[in-house]
Amino acid sequence: MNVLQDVFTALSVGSVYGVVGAGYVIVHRITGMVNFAQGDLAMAGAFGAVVAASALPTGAAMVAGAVVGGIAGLLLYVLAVHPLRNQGLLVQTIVTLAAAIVLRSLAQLVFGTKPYALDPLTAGRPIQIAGASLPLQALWLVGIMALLYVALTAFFDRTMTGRAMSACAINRYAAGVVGINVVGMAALAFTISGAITGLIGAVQVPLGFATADFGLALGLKGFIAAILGGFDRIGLAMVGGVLVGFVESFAASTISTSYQEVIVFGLLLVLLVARPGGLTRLRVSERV
Amino acid sequence: MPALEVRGLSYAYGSMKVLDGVDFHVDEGEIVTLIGPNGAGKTTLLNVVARSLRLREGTVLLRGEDTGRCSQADMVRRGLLLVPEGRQVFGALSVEDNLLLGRYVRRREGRAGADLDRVYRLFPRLRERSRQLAGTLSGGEQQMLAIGRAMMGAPRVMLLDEPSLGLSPQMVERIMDALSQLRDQGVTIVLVEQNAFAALRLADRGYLLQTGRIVGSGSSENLAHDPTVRHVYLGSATDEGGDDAGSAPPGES
Repeated sequence: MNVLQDVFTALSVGSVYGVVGAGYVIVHRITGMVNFAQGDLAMAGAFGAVVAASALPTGAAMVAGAVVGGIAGLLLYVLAVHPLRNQGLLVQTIVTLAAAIVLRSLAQLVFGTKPYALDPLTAGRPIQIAGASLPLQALWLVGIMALLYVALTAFFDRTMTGRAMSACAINRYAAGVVGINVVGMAALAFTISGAITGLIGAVQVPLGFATADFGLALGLKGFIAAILGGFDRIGLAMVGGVLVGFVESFAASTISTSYQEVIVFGLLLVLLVARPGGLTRLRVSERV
Repeated sequence: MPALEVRGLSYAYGSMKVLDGVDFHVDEGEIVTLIGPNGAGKTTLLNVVARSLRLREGTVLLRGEDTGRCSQADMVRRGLLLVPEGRQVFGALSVEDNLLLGRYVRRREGRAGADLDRVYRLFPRLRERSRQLAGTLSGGEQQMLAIGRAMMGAPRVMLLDEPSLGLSPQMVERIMDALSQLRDQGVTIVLVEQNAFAALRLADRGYLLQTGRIVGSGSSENLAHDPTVRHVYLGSATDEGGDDAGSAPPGES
């Protein structure tokens, strides 16, 4: 067992979970609902990149993955979630489960069940440190997560549109009262959330492949990341994602690779019971 | 031409009709109060006029223009600003950020400095607390902030829903005084109140709303002496409520 290798694996898969978790948080903050199709938006982005890679260089193909994820997120909102606006958040949340199944089945119809690969962004041998190897693509994953954190934080804190979205997160009714288009902001939240998820889904393909059904497990792990972050902070969800990555990679190396998923989802059950509010002690009353 | 005119406005929550053919108008520069007991439909009426709730039946004219197809944001852009019941400030944001969000629809119209200044002149207390989180303000200060936030949207018509609710008599006095200054600055005001006698002291005219219908109207002087009004208010007592914080928005996490 090589601890450093586990750390590298944890960071690279954890970045993927973290960004997917951030995707959950963005949608939840602005609309109050949970989008269970989040993982399948990553899958949509991954296949968007795979298709685009036949005509574009790898970097551009991955950006195309982000665009596909963003469009899929927007369509999900416009076609499934918004029409049910009078039915309440629970119904809207359930329809995202349905949308996830539809997306997964569509992908299976078009791409079958075999895995697809992509070239890494930077060609080159993995970096070798003390017997552990770190693929260059893993550095891209961590770097993109960090970059997304900076960009999203600046967007929500500094731009008027971002502040308007944050206002919806604090008090949707009052946001409407000052003339913020709450529906437009919700659509934007789904789009941004889909785009970052699609991007990270595409960038992880050179390491983890793209299959039609990889969105399900990815979505659940991102969900755990979001819960760890209290479902409220983008940065904390990213930290939560890395934590999930650590649990997963150490469970695989110390216990068994066949039990790694069991252990991660066991963690989800424990979390839901013990700390549904996240790891930090932030309570609603402290936020308001 | 009235600044705001409402004709035949009805509204139902499911099968429960709460407004039934309401007509009223407010002339430019007037303060008009809508008074009525709990459950008369006052809050619903303001929310439909402001399009927080959908306008399903009836007509709302702003300076003679039909607003049938306007969204809530469109109404704000046309200068109709709601100061909602329970203040509904952004508790987790600073006072100044709350005010700046009030300018959201005018965000491309140059700098906010002059607008902020106008609010701070009317409510010096808000200037002192400009960096403080809105959720930590007292009820009266939150009411000032809610009014200030509406001022940032350059209102021509301001709808106020129970601004005196849960406030001390001195604070009610200060809020009412601020409203009369706003009127002097050219803002037309619609004031919904349970505190009918405070409202009638300030207003030029009033309407009495009961179970979704206008059942009386007239000058404030006449309404204050109207037997129906006196019966409604002295008979069923004035419910002042006691919720001083009052910032919990409906359906928020």
